[in-house]
Amino acid sequence: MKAWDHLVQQAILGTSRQPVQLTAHAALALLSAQPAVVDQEMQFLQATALLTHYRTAGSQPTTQPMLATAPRCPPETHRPAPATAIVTLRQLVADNEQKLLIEWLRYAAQHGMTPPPDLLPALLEVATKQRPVAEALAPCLGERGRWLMGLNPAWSIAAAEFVDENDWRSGASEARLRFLQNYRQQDPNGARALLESTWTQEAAKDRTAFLGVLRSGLGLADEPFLAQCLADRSLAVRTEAARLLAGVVGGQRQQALLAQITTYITVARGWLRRSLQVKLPARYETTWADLGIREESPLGVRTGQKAGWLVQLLSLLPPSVLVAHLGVDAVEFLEFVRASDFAEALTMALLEGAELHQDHAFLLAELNHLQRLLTLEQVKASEWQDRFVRYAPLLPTPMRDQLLHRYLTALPGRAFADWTTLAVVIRTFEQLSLAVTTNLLTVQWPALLQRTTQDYGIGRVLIDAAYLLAPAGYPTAVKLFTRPFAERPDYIDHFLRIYGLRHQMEKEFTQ
Amino acid sequence: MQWQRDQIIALAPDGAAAKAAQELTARHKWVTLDANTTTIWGECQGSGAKPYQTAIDLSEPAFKCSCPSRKFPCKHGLALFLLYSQEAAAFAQATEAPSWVQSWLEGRAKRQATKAEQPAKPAPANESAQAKRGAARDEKVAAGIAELTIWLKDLVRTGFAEAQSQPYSFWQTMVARLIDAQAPGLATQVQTIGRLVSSGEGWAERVTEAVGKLFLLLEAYQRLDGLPPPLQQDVRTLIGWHQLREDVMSGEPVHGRWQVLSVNLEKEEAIFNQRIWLRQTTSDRYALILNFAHESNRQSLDAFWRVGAEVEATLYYYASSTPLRAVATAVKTVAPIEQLTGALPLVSALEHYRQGLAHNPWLTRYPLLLADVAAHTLEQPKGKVAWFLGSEPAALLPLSRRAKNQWLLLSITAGAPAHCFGEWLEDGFLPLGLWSAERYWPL
Repeated sequence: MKAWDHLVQQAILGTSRQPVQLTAHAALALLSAQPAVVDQEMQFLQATALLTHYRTAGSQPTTQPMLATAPRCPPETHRPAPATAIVTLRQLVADNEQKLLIEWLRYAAQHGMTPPPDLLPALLEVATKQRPVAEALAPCLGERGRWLMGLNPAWSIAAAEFVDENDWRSGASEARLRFLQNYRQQDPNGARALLESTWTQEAAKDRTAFLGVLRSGLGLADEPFLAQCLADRSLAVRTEAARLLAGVVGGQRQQALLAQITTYITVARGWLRRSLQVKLPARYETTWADLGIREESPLGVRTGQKAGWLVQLLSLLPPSVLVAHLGVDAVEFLEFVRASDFAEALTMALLEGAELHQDHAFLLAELNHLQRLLTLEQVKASEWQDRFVRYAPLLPTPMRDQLLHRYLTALPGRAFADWTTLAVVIRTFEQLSLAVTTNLLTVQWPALLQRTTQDYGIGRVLIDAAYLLAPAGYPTAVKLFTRPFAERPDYIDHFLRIYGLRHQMEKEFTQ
Repeated sequence: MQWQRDQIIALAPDGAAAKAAQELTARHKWVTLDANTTTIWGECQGSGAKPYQTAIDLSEPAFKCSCPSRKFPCKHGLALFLLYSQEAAAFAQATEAPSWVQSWLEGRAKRQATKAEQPAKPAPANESAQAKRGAARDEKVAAGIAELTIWLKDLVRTGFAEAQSQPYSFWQTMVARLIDAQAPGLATQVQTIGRLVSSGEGWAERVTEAVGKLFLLLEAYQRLDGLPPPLQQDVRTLIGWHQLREDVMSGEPVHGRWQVLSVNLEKEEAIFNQRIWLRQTTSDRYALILNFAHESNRQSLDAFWRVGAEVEATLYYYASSTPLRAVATAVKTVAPIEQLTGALPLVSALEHYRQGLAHNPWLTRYPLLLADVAAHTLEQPKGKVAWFLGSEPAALLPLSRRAKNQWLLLSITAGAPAHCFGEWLEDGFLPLGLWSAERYWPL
């Protein structure tokens, strides 16, 4: 509309700079029927009023031939979540309860369900800012969620599971690492081949990180590539490759290492009992340098030089391989080691090897061994707790849970000196089993509460526990805290509220 | 009809009450929890020996609590309601309410019956004093309008580009004068122009439109006597005269069943503005309930409206050439919306608006119920996206800049056409609700 554009231009400049010159327009014809207005500004205002009204009344639907019509969403394959669970989800989104939101999404994914469509945009928004939410949301997005995400580029970051080969080619180091990890899970050989294809172009820091991905699904097929890496210009890469090679079960390098170690460590059979025989290496082998073994004992190894070489060699090997080769039981072997002249250094080396190769069987043996000593009152509870906290992240959850349960049962009401110690132990879990939960709520906590409710940090511990305890234990927790308190602290209600919500969520999805 | 948590939280008189109520939603805090079809009640263990007795009449909802709090509803009432919305199964189904609930319900019923029998009697008016006050105000407003006309002419003379560099006080001085002249409606419009001057791309066009409308209003006031009475009322309302609620309620009542199409809370500075759109099920009549509240006290906002519900209510419309604003009384929620009728094709919906404009040129935020429209996007420069609503590329309405719920709309409809309710604003359509998958969704 020319008249309108002209008017707006005049409005910007002002009548003092540009005298009013009205363009011919049907709406302005009305002005000519009015008495003549000499005042420029008045003339302008009248024209503006008329044209504004004309434009408003004349609004028409617009035409956009270039319009992109969004593809229709495919039919939903996920089931809708139960109505009561949706009410809870609304509350969690409104309160921005990240941990509980993740738990809700996991339940939904577990049951093949999806959030309601009116909450998907809000969830995708949260997921773009909070990676753990994105990871939990991805499996329960359903067709609607994935369709929606495809339409809005801002939400693509929410697709934690959707890192693709493009990320490998052009993404940042973190995205590339994530892609390689995912790919290794699905196709170990394919992932290694992909890494080999770009190996020479990678920076040393990335090479070290990417090589570490091979630890998952490590096998004989990886050996040639890892052997090549021993000649890498970066020491960190060489060391990582040597460690991985030592972990390849049945691999040449592992066998060679085992052969060397068993020349120094043997189990001798006496009349009544067996014992460990340790012979120290006579000299430093030049081939050891490739394995990252230093001639001078590294910091932290408080032994003589020769014992230091043995310790470094031993720490490269998964201890279960050595134990199997020697034909002894792991717990028994640990007892031999503890009775030897090099008890401390060798135990440390074995456990280091177990940690490095995530040798669950050996770590479990160590903790069981400690537990036995604990029952015999030969070690303190704190020693078991320290070891448990250190190894727990490496152990599968059921194994971890079983260990803790056995520990709790062995020390009724005495497992933890205070709430802080308890917190340190339970924080190694994502979720506690019902057996552990019940023991804590019926045996350990009443004992701790009897000692004090004023313990420093108890509130924080209870809130953490509210997210970890098995939801089915909630009624037991309610019973525990209905007992009279001289002055009921606020954190108890806070704890019960969070725990109650988790209990409610579990019921909503399972009933 | 189930109440949602956020709707219940919105009933809280302040943030502290809302927070305290959430802490009280732990089941163990409640000694008893009972319900029947219309009422829920429970006993909450407080600091005293005797638990507080709390009850809610769900038909409104109305609250009762024996606690000494002066806040209304109190944290116990809110917590009981929250618990019910989260876990209705935790409430035992009672055939008979205890005496304290019974007597409260009876008292309420009695008071309501008395109120219905005795319509409010307006206080005897001192007509001469009223006329004197009216004349004085007319005089003040006329002076204000004269001053505003001169100010507008100055603005036009120097140009809007110059106005962009004016300080805040430039606009505020005129706003203050108009408030002194008892023309708060005009003051708001000047304030709006002041904001539009720095509203980014397209600002000059928006300012020109706003100035055009304001000038038309000033001209209309000069010729007020020559206008039809309903339009006179519109002009006076826009300038700042209020229609008293009692006067409105002395008009013709409109009984019927209404669909609650949207409940929105907007905030301007410290004032909340609650906008509730209703549509009569038996006609194409719309009604807008407006409530205002200061942020420090939201009690004057209605808590009982539930989007997607049908209510029985009696409405009284404010006098206007295009009656939309109304007062609602005797509201009773009866059912969820089961069918949304009266949606119009886009062109016909705009024709309705045009007919309204013919009566009232300042008509804005007009309700439209569009039939079978889907959301479309158009890539714009600088990575921006323009949104449209329509049934085909040849007939589309742009979405208003105020619309923030496009993705929600798309997610609910899955890209399929749906009936969409919203307001037609100066710059486009503002979606407020839609009918999809056999139910009504608020946006």
